[in-house]
Amino acid sequence: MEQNIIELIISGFMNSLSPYHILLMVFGIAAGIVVGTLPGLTATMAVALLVPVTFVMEPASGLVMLGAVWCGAIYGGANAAILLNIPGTPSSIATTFDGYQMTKNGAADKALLASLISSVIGGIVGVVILLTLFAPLAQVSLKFGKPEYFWLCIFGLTTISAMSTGNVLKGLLGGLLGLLIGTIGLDPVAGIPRFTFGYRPLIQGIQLVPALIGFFAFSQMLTLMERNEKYIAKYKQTPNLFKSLVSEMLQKGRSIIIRSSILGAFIGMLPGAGGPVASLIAYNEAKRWDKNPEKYGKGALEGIMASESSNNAVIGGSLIPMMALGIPGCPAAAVVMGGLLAHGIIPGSKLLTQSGDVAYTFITSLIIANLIMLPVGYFMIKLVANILNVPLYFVAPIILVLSSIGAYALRNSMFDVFVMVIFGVIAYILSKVGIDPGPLALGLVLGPIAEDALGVSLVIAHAKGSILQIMFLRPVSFILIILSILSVFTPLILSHIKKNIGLEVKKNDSTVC
Amino acid sequence: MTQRFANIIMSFVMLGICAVFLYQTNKLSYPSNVFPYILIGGIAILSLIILLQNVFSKVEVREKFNQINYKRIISIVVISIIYISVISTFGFYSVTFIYLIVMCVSLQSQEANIKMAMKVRNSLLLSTSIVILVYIVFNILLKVPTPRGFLI
Amino acid sequence: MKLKNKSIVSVSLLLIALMILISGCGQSNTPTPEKKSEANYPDRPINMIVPYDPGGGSDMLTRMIDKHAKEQFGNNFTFVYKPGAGGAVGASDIAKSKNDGYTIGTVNIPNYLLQSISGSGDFNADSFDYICQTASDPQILITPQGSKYTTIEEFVQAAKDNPGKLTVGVPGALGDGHVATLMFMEKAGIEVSIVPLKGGSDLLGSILGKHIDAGMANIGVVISEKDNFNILGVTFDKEHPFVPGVPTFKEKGYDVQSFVGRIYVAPKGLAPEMLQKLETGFKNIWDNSEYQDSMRNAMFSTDWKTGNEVKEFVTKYHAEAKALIEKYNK
Repeated sequence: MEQNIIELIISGFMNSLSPYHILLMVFGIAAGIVVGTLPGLTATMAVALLVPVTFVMEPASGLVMLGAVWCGAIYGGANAAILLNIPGTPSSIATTFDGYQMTKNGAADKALLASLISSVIGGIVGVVILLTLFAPLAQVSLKFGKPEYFWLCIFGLTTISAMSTGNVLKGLLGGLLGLLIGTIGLDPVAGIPRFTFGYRPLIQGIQLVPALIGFFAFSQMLTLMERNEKYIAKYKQTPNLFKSLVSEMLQKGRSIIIRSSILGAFIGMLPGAGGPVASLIAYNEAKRWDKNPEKYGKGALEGIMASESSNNAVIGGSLIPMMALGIPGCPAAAVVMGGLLAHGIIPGSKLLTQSGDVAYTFITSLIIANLIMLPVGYFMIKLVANILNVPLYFVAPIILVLSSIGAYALRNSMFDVFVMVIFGVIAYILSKVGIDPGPLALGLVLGPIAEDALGVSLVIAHAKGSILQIMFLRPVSFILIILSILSVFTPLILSHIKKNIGLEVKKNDSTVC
Repeated sequence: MTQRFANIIMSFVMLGICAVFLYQTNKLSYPSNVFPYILIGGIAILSLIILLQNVFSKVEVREKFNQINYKRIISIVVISIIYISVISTFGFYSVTFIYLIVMCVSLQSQEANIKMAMKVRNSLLLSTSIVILVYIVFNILLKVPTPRGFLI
Repeated sequence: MKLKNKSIVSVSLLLIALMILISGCGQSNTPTPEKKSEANYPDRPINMIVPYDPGGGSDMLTRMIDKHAKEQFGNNFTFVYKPGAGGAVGASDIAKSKNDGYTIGTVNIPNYLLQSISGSGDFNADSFDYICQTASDPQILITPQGSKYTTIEEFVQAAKDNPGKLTVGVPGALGDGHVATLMFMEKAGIEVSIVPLKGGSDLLGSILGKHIDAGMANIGVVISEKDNFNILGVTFDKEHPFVPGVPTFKEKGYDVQSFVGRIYVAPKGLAPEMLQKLETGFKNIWDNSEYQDSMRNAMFSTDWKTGNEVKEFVTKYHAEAKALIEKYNK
C-alpha cells in the first residue's frame, strides 16, 4: 500500500493544476491580498474566515483555497507597509523600515514589485524545504525547548540595534516598554491577572494587532497631518520596471533572498515564533552581512527583499511540524489544521500513509499558488499604488475608519478600538522624543513568547535544581546566547574599526543623547 | 521646547511607570515576578542614563516641534475619540458616515483654492462610497461583524 | 449661502437613505419578550457566542451542530466570536446577555468554572442556564518515548522517591489538565512540579522533544501521535474508546475524573419552555448519524449529557476544584 513520495508529488501537482483549483487559487490569492492589505485584518483571520466556506468543499479543494488565501494575505501586508508605513499584517513590520522610505523617495512601484517578487520566491523556497526535508526538520524543531525559545527572543530583541536609526539607547527603551506592555493581562505561568490596575477589561491583555494598528496606522496618520502636505509622496509609474528590477534584484540580492527564505522557513517551523519574528531577524541579518549597512532604513531594496521573502517562507516552515507531528507552527497554521481535522484528515506522523494524496495536493498547490500570485499581485499593485494620488485629507480619514474596524473585527470588541487609539497617541508622543514604533512593536511581539518561555524554564529549573544547567548550558541555548552577544557587539566593533581606519562615520544627528 | 527638555520629561515619566509596575510586581511570587523585575530594572537604568546625559549636556538642539500644526493633531485625536465612543450607541455605519464628512471637510481647511461647496460635495461622495464599500467588503464578502447601535 | 444650505439638506437626505438601506440589510435588533413568543420560539436566528477564535475547537464543534441547526431551529446560528482571556471574555458576555432565548453560547467545562475561581471571570456556575453537553475529552497521563515510567504505579513510586522533582506539563495554567494533576497529587499523596504550557500542541511538542517528564494532556489533541509516547492512564470513569486498553485512574485506586466538556449555555433565567426546546433540538442533531460521523472524523468523542446532568456535575466539580486550588496555590 505504501505509495512512492515522488508519485504523490506528481499526482499532487496534477491535482492542483486542474482548472477548478486554479480558479480557486486566483480567487483565494486576490481575497488574501485584499485582507492582508487592510490594516487589522491579519493572515490568520483571513484563513479563519474561510474555513467554514471550505466545509462544503472537497477536502483537497478547500485546502487549496485556504493555502492560496494564506499566501496572498502574508504578501498583501507589504502593500500597506510600503505605501502607508502601516504593516497590513504583523509579519510585515520589518517591511515598513525600508519600504515606506522608498515610497517617500518616489520609488513606490519599485518597492511594491520587489516585495511581490521576494514573496513569491520566499514562498516557493519555504514550500520546497517543506516538501523535501520535513521529516528531519520536524525532529530539529523538537530540540527547541522553552529555554531555547527564551534565547531566541533575546536574539530577536538584539535586532533593535539594527532598526534604531537614531539612538540605540532609546531603541532599547522602546523595546523594553513594548515588553512591559505585553505583560499586562493573565500571567502565563500562574494563570492569574496582574497589571490590570483593577480595570477588568485589561485581564485579556493588550492584544498585538490593535496595538500595532495604533503604533503604526494611527500615529502615522497623525504624523502625516502635522504638516500641510497634500500627498504622501510623489508617485509616477516607472516604465519597463519589471525587467530592470529583476536584473537589479538578481545582481544585488540573490544571496539575501535565499538566506532570508531559509531563515524564514527555519523560524516558521518553531511553533510560536512565526512571521513577525522571522521577518525581523531576516532583516537584521541582511543588514549585518551587508557591506553598507548604513543604507538600511533609508530605502534599501535589500531590506524589503529580506523581510518579504522570509515572511512568506514562514508558511512552508510552519507546516513542517504540523504535517510531521500535528503541531501547528503559527496561529494561521493552527487554523488550517482545524480545517484539515474538520475534513477528517489527521495531521501528524500518519498523515502520509493515511491521506497522502490530499496532503501532497495541498503542499504542491502552495507552489502553484505562489506562481499565480505573481500576475495577480502585479495587477493589484497597479491598483493599490493609486492611493498615493489621493489627497491626504481623504486618505487619512479612510485609514482611521479602516483601522477602527480592523481593531474591532479581531475580537468584536470596542475595547480593542480604544486600545488602538490610545496606543496610537502614545506612539505618536513617543516618536517625538525619538522612540520609534518599530522597537515598541518588536517588544510587544516577543514579550509574551519570552515571558512564557522564561517562566516555564524557571519552573523546570526549580524542579531539576539547576538554573545554570537549564538556562545556559543546553547546546542550542548556548549557541543562541553567543549569537545574541555577537549581534549586539558587531555594529559597535565594526564602527570602531571603521573609525580607526579613518573612514568617515556619520555622526548621529541627535548629539545630545 | 527643546529635545533636551523633552528627554528629561520622558525619563521622569518612564521612572514613574517603573514605580507603578514595581509596586504591582512586588505582590507577585516566584517565578512570575522575574520577568517584570528584569524589564523594570532595564527601563529604570536606561531612563536614568538618558536623564543624566541630558541634565549634564550643554548642547541645545532646537527641535522642529514648532512647525507642527498642533491644533490639527489635537482636533483629529479628539474627533476620533468622540467617534469611537459613540459607535456602540449609534451603530458603526451612521457614525462613520458623519465622522468621514467631518474629517474630510475639516482637513481640507488648508486648501484655500477649493470652494466650500466643492469640499462638502467631494466629502459627501467619498463618505457615501466608502461606507457602501466597507459594508460590501466587511459585512457581505468577509462576513466580519461591525459594531451595531440603535441606528445602524 | 444657498449652496451651503443645499448641501446640508442633501447630507441629511443621503444619510437617511443610507440608514434605511443598511438597516434593511441587517437583522432587526428589537427583541420582543412576550408570552406568546415562547410558543413559536425560535422565530429568528439565534446568536451563538463562541468565546474562542474562529477555526478553533469550540468553533468547529459548533459549526458541526450548525450544519443541522436549520432543521431544528428554523435558522442557522449567527456566530459571534468573543475570544480573550482564555474564554473568560466570551463567557462573561453570555452571562450578561438578554435571557430572551436569542443569545446562547458555548463554554468548556471546567475552564469557565476555573476562571471564576481564579478571578479572571466575573461570573460563576450560577450565571448560566444549562442546555446540554455534546462532547467530552478526558485527560491522559503521558510520558515521552523511552521514559522510565510506563505505568501509573511506576510514576507514583518515582514521585514519592523524589518529591517535586518530576515535571508534569499541563496545557494551561489553572486549566482542566492543571486541576486533574492536582487531583492526582491529592489522591496519590505525591508532589510533582506542574509546568503550565501554552495549549495542547505545546504540550505535545514538549513530550515529543522530551523536555518534560510527563504530561496531563487532552486525548483529542495528542491522540494522532499516540505511537510516539507512553499512555499511563485516563481520567475517565470507564475505558475510553480512543485509547482502548489504557487503565483509568479510578481502577488504579486514584479517583481522578476530569475532562473538557463542550457544553451549551444560556444566560440565567431563560423561560423553561425555551430551554427545553433548545435541549430537544440539540439532542435531535446529536442523534443524527451524519453529525456523529463528522465528529468521529475530526477526532472528537461525543458524550451527551442533559442540561440537568451538566448542572449537577458542574456544582460538584466546582467545589472540588476550588478546594484544591486554594490548597495548592498558596
